[in-house]
Amino acid sequence: MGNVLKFFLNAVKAIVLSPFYIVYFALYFIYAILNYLIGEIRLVFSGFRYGDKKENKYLKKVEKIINSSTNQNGGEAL
Amino acid sequence: MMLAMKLDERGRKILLVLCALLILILLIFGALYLCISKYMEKQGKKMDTYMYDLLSLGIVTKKSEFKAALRYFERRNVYNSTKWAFRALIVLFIIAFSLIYTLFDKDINGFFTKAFDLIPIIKWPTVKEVNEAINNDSLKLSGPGWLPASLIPTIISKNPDFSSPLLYCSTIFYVCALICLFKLIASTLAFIARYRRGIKMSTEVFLKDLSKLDLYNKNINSPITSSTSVTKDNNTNV
Repeated sequence: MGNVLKFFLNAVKAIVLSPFYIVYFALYFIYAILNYLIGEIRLVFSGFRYGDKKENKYLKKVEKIINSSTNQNGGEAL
Repeated sequence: MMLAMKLDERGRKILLVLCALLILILLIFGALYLCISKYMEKQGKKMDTYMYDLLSLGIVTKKSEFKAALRYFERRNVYNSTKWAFRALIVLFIIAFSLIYTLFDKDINGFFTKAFDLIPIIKWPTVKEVNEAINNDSLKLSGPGWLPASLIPTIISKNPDFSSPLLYCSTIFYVCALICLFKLIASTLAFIARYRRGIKMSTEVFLKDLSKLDLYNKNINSPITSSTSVTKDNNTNV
């Protein structure tokens, strides 16, 4: 019974707030479009490497730390 | 209940129809809300897959660094998840306009409307028509037979020209465009879910809670701050 009531309350919430949800989604969608356009330009200027995991600066740091820890521990993985 | 008993036959019929319509609308919106919320909950957790390593290895030690990393990752994730759908849409429009200008005598309107000939028109009766039907029919309010026929919509099917290549091209265009649009909507919802979860966790992860602090074991539930950041030497404790 609780789940059914929750379902209908969520339905009412969805109906009442749907214009705001749509506007919220539309703003993020516009961001996604702009992000894509900028991404394509950056892809060309970066030599088609933009978005590649190997070029991710954070993942490079993670790999560096893991590799240095592995070397410190005499080849044993973390 | 008292109001329903005071209403006349006509009023009670209208009330019942409105209740049925309201329940149907609630069911549709409820199901849609449930599907979208479940999907976004699942997608939001994917943020943890890349932030966990950054936190546990001490690369991110502050809320501002967390948000900067989140924005960095999400810009790339959104680009990677939407690039092929956007590219497909652009190619689709290029092919469509080249076909319009070469094969279909610049019939832009025809190309973009021909596919709708396959979809029949659903004509709902107007309030005036329903009132007339209810007043004319002396139906008793019991069982399913009380519903006046005029409340049922009329389905008018158009006669599509199946020999025309414009119909097939238009249909294929819309089917492909809908698939791309669906992928873009799903990717955007996933992005919203990951970003919102990231913003929420950027505060929670660095929140100092003495009840979670275990001085004897120093487990991974301890808050990570810039003063107690996990160094390389402490990695074996994680």
